[in-house]
Amino acid sequence: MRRIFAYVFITATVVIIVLALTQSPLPKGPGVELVVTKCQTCHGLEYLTDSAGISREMWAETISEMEEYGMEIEPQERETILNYLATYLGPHPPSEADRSPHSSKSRNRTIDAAELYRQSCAACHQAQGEGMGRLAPPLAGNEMLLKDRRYALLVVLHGLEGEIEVGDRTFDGQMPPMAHLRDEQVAAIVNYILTAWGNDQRRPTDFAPLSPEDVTKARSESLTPQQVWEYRRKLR
Amino acid sequence: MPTKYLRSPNRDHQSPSTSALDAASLDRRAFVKLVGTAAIGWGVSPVHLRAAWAQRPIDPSRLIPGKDRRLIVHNSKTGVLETPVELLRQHRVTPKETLFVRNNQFLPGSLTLDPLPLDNWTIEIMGLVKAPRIISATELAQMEQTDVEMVLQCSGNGRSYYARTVKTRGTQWKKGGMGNVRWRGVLLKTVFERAEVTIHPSARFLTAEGKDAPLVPTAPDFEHSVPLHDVIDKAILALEMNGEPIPAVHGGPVRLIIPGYYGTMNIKWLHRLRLEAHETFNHHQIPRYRTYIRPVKPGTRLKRTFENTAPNWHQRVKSIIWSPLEDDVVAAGPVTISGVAWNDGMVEIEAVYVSTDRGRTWQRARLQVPASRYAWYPWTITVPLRPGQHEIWSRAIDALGRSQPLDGSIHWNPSGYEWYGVDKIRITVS
Repeated sequence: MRRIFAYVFITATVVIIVLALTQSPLPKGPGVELVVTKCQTCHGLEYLTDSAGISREMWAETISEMEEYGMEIEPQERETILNYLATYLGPHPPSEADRSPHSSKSRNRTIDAAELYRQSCAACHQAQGEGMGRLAPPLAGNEMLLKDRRYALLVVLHGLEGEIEVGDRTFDGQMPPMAHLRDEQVAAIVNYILTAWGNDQRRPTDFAPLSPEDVTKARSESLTPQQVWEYRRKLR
Repeated sequence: MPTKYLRSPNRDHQSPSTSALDAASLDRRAFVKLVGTAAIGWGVSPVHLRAAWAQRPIDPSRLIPGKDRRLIVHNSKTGVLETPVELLRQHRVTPKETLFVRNNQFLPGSLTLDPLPLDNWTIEIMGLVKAPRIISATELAQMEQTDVEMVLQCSGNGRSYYARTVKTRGTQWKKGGMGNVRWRGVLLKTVFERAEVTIHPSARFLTAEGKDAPLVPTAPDFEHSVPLHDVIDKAILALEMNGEPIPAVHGGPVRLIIPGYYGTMNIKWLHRLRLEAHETFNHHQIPRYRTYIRPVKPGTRLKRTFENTAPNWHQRVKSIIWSPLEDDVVAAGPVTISGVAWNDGMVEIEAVYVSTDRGRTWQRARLQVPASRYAWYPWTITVPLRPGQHEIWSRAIDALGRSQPLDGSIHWNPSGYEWYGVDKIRITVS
């Protein structure tokens, strides 16, 4: 009985986390994920919906102001964010019916793993996987990633919470679960991390690339960030 | 009573003695790091989770424990809450449970109505002074206290009404980014006297910093400058709000309170006062929190400079109608209209006029005596109304003849600050 209760409890917790990450007050459209990631670092998304209806120029000024506050974006990301805001939160947003073709188009687009990494991971793990301060460990040459091909997948999907050591450094940041990404995207990101920056030279030769099906399976495991930390501890 | 003041050996913020004093409360760098961690964690708090689970908006009473759950959430991360007029009109002095919240930045542990301890809280006084000083909050508590009741209003209050011409970005406040609050603390001039702060004659501005920090460590840290000559005899370093230690979310244990000024200048979690020859050019002082000196066509974007803009300092003359409410249905016959009016406290509010015919004729409302020149003046008037759709307008005028523009968009500015147009509501009389 107690085990069933624990199981239900853990499942519910994970469902809630996924809900919180996927439930966003913003209309769906190309770039919405980037908008959520960049904007929610500092403020609630209410701030965006509150301003809905302002002109493209005003959104551009708003983005510049946010850059003043420390938002770091590449020119191309700026364009994506501005296009999203000026379109979906601009003076003449497309109706629900107009929107669906766009989203299916973006769904069928081929995945650029390096670009995905840059959008979703590089803010903390940095462009060359070198990590940041005590918050984000390096991914380049990170032995733990190269020891077990599922570990990175679990961290991306379910997050990681707890103090860890990588090399001779200690990290105590929280890795948020990136469960809002689609299976193909998660697979692409993890495969990218496991091969970029010379990682392909260091990992065991029997490391097969992850498939979207592997991601589907790992997603169904519904771990908490603390459980992923436990998983990591046992790997040592 | 003789009080011993700690001397700061130099102006370096990281000087050993300053750090030692800070260490007991909150080390700035540790704090920035902590916030950075939280930021990277996407800000998914239990409050957000609960809201997501229930598929409904975030409950303000969970975001900031103790707040009324009927408040409007404008930003669930730093905590920006508006008081609906239905709640605002219930009290002459706005209780802490319903008072609006507007935070630009974040101080860990401050999203609560509980107070923060006075112990180990210090305020550094530096800049154009003979010798810098550090005074403690406990020393402040032993000095002569002054009380003031005043309107605390976000300078963005009413921003949503600029959308009648060109919508401006930012939190779309209606009327509830304000409240009427009692503060108790030590007058700034008393602090300077007691701490033996000798100010150089070239000092013209007071720049205040709080202990909060930006969410991203590289961002400019929030601070504001105010004209020293204007605030020296009315600003207080407040320790109490509505008769209790200031709730953490409202800027305790020590908040700079400048009666008559817009809320943003009332620096929360006061930590440092700088006496300077010029306004700070921090991003939050310029281009933020400023309006154009000359009216511009709504939608105009003009680079904001020290020359063409003025900071959100003195509050504009303003009145709001809080009964009836927009879209209310009232019975035909005598209808009582009521609201409040206020200004910057420089002179009295002389009258509030009400029009039920879109400004053709105006009738003078009855004003109540305010608790202080900085507090709000409740007003009321009873007018006969026939069945149909009606607009009710209210307009305050003060002893200097300063009043509210009929079309508030004349004061349009890119960030939508200082809305003070004639208040207009539409009602149905049946």
